[in-house]
Amino acid sequence: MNKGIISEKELLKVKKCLSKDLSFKLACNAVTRGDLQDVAMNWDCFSLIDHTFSHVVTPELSATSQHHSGRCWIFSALNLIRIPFAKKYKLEDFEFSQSYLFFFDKLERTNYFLENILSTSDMPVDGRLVSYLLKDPVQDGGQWDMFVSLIQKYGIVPKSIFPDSKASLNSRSINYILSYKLREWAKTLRDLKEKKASDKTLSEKKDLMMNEAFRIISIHIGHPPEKFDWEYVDKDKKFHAYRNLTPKTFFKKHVNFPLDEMVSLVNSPRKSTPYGKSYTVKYLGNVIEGQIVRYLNVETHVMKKAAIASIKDNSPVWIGCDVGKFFHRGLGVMDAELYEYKHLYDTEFDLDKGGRLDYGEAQIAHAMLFTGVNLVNGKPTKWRVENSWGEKNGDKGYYIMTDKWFDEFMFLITVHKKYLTKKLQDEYKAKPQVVPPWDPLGD
Amino acid sequence: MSKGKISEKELVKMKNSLVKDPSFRLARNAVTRGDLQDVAMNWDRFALLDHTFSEMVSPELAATSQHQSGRCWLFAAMNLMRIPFARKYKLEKFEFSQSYLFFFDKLEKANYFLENILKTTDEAFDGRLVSHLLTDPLSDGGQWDMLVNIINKYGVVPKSIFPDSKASLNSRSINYILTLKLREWAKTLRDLKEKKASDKKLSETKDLMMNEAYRIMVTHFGQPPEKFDWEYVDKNKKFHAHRNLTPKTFFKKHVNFPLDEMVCLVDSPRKSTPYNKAYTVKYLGNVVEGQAVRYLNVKIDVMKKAAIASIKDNTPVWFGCDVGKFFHRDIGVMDTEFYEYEDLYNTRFELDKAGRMNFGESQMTHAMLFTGVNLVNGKPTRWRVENSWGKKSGDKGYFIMTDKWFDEFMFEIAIHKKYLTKKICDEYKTKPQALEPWDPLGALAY
Repeated sequence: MNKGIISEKELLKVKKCLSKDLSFKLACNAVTRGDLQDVAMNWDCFSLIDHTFSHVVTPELSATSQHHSGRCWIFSALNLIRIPFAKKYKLEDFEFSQSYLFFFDKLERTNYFLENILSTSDMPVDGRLVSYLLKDPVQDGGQWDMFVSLIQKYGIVPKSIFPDSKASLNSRSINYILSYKLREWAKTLRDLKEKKASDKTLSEKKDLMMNEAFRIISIHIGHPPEKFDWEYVDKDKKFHAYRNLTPKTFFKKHVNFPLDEMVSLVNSPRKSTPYGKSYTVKYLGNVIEGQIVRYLNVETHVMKKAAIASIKDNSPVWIGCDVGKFFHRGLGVMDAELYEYKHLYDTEFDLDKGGRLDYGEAQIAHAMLFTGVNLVNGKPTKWRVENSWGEKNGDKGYYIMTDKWFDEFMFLITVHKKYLTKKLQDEYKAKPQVVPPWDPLGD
Repeated sequence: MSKGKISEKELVKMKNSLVKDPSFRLARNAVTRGDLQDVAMNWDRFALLDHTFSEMVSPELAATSQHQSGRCWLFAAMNLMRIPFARKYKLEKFEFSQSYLFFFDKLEKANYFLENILKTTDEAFDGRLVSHLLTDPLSDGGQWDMLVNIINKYGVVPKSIFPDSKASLNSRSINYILTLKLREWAKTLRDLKEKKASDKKLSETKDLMMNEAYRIMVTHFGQPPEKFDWEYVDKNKKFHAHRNLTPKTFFKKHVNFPLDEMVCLVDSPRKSTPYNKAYTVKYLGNVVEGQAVRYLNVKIDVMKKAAIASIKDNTPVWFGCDVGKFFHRDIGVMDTEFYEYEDLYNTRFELDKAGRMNFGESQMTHAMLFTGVNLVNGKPTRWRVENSWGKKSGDKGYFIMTDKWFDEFMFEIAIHKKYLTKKICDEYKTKPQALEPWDPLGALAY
């Protein structure tokens, strides 16, 4: 191709050479009419799908549904906490209120965004940083440490006390209204700052904005309770009641999950992020002065070892991965060999995990839970995953992840520190290196 | 709030002041259970909906559907061209193949991307520019000038000759596969360059990549035709046939739309983009050495005047707007007063158009067609819009845009230069100022 232009001659040449290629013709006929995932699915992998595992955490409860919202991180974290809780109180089924945390997350994020806008007012609005902050100021997604910050500040309530509102089931409307206001307020604050307004004026103005935000969020999600009674019937049909709880006393007395003993491990095989070091992401968070996002970067086998130890000890594992890749939603399978794209297109897919992170192809898109693993001679072959997309897919909402998929598309786990060596615990605690907000670790 | 934190005391205070407020309680009860658009809809505006217009282009044909793809800009442009074409050939119904243009747009975008990667090898891969290029290298979206490039190079064909494949109806799979390959190739080319590979080596590697890209594209869309016969039955049930056409001769002999006499006007009321100047956007395009994206920035009244002149002359107008705002999809209405959000939330929405552009709240997102306007004493009150989202919403797929909505959320029209003054045509031709690739004027319609 001369001068980088596509020429008619070249096109004819390629076309001719393809028209004689039998496997191209078969692929073309199938793909122009059929669904790519169906057409490319490797029958051998499909026939191997089996929801049997050598090690499964108990009790497994009914899979939850985050509906049309990005609350996966809240759902999976609460699913993690409910397992020991259900065991302790002999519950057949139970959910914590995801909407309760969603409310405070939106409120805290509003505050966090406005503070970030104030601290960046000397940067241009179309510069990379401010553009980044403005892009999605109240998105639903979050990280483990953001979850911890919310619980520590606001506690937790049963779902029976604070149910889903329309906005929890579909967050589009509230995000549209709130993002609009946040961008408007960003302009107001930046304009005031440009006119050399005093810190007092700015702070008062911001307080008014927070009042309005509180009103908007309350209109969509309702007011969370300050006091409540928790009543329930256990497995043996016995009624129980705990009176006069607050969300914080409920967490402390009844849930009492060791949040401050949990550690997040990440696998980022890039030159820019050496292993054995801890990382945090600039401008990523929700609660001002809350727990900062922190990960220790380790090789996947370290991650696997910790996850296996946790599952064997009957503790599920919170995970973050790039769910959309080599995945079938209906079957609930994550398998790096499920689709034979290589043969279908007669091409290799060579980008490795580090390359995918560097070139924008990989994201930590979704949080779920490991509740089981299949060990053959002590080595993992597949993982059992509790998702929050309802009970219709996979094994009543529980999915399979092959161990090879883990290598390629798993990025994060959060486990109790007791499943890690002393060396890893110390490395986790070391002063974290700060990566820019648009780093893929900030997804 | 001390030190920027939210305090418990403040929370209780805010809550207590709200619970006594009856309009808050009404709003909360409605919004926690109902759909926001239904709850906030202004009945007076709803009651005013009327699909009657004083000026209408004819013939209006059945509304088209782009399905689950971002081909709006191609649909809108082909809908623009089919109106004079249907008039000329007395056709009751007709569609050009959007899939044919979609195919070549994607193929050209792959090439354009790889060339941009080669041009930017001295920039960091995680810098703003290369990150931007990598973000969505194969977006379905496009701009008027990109359409012109594809037609000039490849012509057009009737939809009966090159129908929609699965990938035209839902572009997710083809975009996933080809984007994965493009990012992989970006790394390959950058790695080669770092190892000081010769230009010849780079160019050969890129040719192999384009061969693979072609294979992937053809696997999803099938081979576009080089020759075809166009057969049709006209309104009077008469059969016609034109034999041995190529996509380019078909366009030249039968369609013959004056692409090179069309001009794009935008409204960007920002300080950084003064009016009456021409603009282009860096790294935005599809065909290497094709026509550059070019807009003349004008006040909204200039845009309206031109659009009215065109409609009155029985010529529809291609346009780009931010469709998702103050919009109801099923009713098919764009009306800034349709939802009473200000009363519902007891707040004002004060960002103006420039502020919305500067702060990432608004940009062109969708292309459609004006086929009519309602004039009262010569002033427009509402506009008739042909969309490409099927026949189920609005008036069989035709929507209403109020004139006030036009002011706030319209960004661009493409129009024949005969509807513009000589001064504006000259300004359009001046050397354009180049905007950064992430400028809101670089947004693609999908």
